[in-house]
Amino acid sequence: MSDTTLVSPQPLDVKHSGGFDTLWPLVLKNALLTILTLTFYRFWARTHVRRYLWRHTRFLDEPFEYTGTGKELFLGFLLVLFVFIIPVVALQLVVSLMSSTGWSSQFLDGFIGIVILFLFGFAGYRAQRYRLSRTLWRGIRGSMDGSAAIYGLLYLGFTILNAVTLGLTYPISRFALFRIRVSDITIGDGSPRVSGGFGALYPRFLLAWLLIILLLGGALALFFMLIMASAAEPVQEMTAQTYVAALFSRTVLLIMVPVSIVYFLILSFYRAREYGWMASCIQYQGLRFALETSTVSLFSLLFGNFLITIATLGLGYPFAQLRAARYFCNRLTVVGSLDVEAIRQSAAKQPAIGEGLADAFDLGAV
Amino acid sequence: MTTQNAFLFDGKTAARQSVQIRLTATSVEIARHTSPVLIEWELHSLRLIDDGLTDGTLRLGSSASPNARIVTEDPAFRADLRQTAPQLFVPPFRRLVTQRKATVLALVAALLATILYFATTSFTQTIVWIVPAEWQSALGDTLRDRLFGENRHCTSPAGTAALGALKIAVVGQRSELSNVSILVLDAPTINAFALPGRQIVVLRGLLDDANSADELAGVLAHELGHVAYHHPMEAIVRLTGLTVLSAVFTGDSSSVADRLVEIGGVLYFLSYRRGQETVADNYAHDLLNETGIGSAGMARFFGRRDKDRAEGGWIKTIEAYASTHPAAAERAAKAQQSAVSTRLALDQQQWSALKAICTN
Repeated sequence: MSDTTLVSPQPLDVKHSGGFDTLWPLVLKNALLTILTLTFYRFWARTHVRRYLWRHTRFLDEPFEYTGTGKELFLGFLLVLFVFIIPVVALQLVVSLMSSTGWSSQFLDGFIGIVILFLFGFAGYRAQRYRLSRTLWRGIRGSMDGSAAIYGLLYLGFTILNAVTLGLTYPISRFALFRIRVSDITIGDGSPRVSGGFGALYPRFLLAWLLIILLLGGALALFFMLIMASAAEPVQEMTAQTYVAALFSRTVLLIMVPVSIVYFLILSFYRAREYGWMASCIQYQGLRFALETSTVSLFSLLFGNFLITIATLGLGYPFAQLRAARYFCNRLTVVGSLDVEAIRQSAAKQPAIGEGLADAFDLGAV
Repeated sequence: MTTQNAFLFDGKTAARQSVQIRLTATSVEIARHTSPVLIEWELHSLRLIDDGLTDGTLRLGSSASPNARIVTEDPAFRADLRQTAPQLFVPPFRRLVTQRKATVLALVAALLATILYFATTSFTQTIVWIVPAEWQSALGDTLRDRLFGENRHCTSPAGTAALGALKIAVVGQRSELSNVSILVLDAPTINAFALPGRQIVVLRGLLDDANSADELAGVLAHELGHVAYHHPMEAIVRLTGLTVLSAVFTGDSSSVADRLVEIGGVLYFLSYRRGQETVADNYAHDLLNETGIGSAGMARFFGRRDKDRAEGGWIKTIEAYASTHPAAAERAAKAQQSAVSTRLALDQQQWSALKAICTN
């Protein structure tokens, strides 16, 4: 009596049943305990939020389950603290003590910067592996079947390439890294495949790139106009301090706020295309995916989440996570066939401790 | 109690198997319908994955088979399980935290905090003594360059000679002040400070403001007090410790480098504790009286600072409360008490030369 193969002409359901009304007690408790414990509770807080988000996500009417623990995250953090943070701080201190010219400390800062860039990619990959290995759906676990070091090197290389090409290679890097992060996923013993390429991203990307250049140019011009305008004003009683304060408040109100809004709009314009295209490139068994995105809806998600996070000093971040989860679940359509009996548990070893590095770099995206 | 309305995910494939589950006094038995028992989970191995309160679906796992799950929507089974194995329904937090455990934990935490407090305080002072003198001077140079790299080092010949004479007059016979170097930088701020590596930096603004060599000698004596007690190095060590601690608490190491640079910034000046300032003041009084310069100049200088503040209104008053330096009036009064002057720090000609040290 098993439901071996599910073939459906109708789209298969992905649902998210979480809501602000059921999440806020958890967020409140987490915020209080995080403050009371001088932020040490954050590992457990994050775990509880994930448990909530996973539990409220259903595919084929079966919920996901998060099996990670706060202790694992905490141990991962301790490991990184002792093998990375403390040695780096000690090294920097010794070098700055010994050099009066600042030459070797600048060299060290540059070197550490490169290492940190590599570790960013490395940590992101490892964190994804940890989360997948703690995700259970219909009794099956996920994982990542690839090398975090290679991903870290690629991340570093692409970041440098993007800087050199003034961002023109951005879609290539995004798609290449996306391909690795998805095709390395294992669900039991099988993996999704990624077909297609980055070419389809370029028409919209180039437009967005031009708009960003215009935006930056406009912001710069506006800034100089403001400086000229304030310089032309009568100097009466204006000390240097009040002058800077006035210039600063004008800069923030007249430039930074509109520029960041327009920036989010352009970003959403590009991301809407990118997310939709990436979803359509994924294939798992007989399943195909379609994500219905739009510039306006994505802007409201991204900008709204930005506002929620800064207005609550980060304590309301779970609300932003919930909004993102709901956005992607409700707009994702899955069609095709799935042979659930063919998904077998993988024998691969699981990481024993949590995503310490990702925590150190504040990559705790979910 | 047996229910037919249940499903098993066996943790081997993603297939959902329709099963019947039976609750006995010691275990849950899982069987395909009409077949013999497939799996038996002891009650003590059970884990409650979802208590079924939100959507009526009870989910159970077992430590015997960590990936397998059984699911049932039968409310009767749930009620029965709750009666047979009530501890399963107690929130894990409450199972974990008993009153005794909590008391022990609180005591251990208090003990640790006490040890940590004393360890860090004496640790700071120990480190200061360990760091080699050359490193301390190198650090002092680095800090000075980062803070005042753009400000010219004032070295007019007559001024430099006068500064040397003032140093000899103020330092006197004190052996702990040998090798101290004093230099003047061309910056308008009225300030002077001590750096690691027995360095004292005087800003030109202070020379402009001072009315006599005795006033300047008073400020120098205070900074020499900081040098004698190794305060600059202690502040650096303490700040480094704070930097690491803040990385521990926030988990954010990416900005550790930035914050280390800040050591040379504003924090450095704010980081003397009030107690240290008082100690440096007392040291200055002793030194000034010993060398015969007397602390009257110091009293005049701080007296003027106090008058400035009185004219500055309430903002300056708040600043004074927040500051780590003792109130200027208090300092002036203290300096006045112990004022015995038998000689001038510099003669008039030397003083004029020193004031002009930044003009070539």
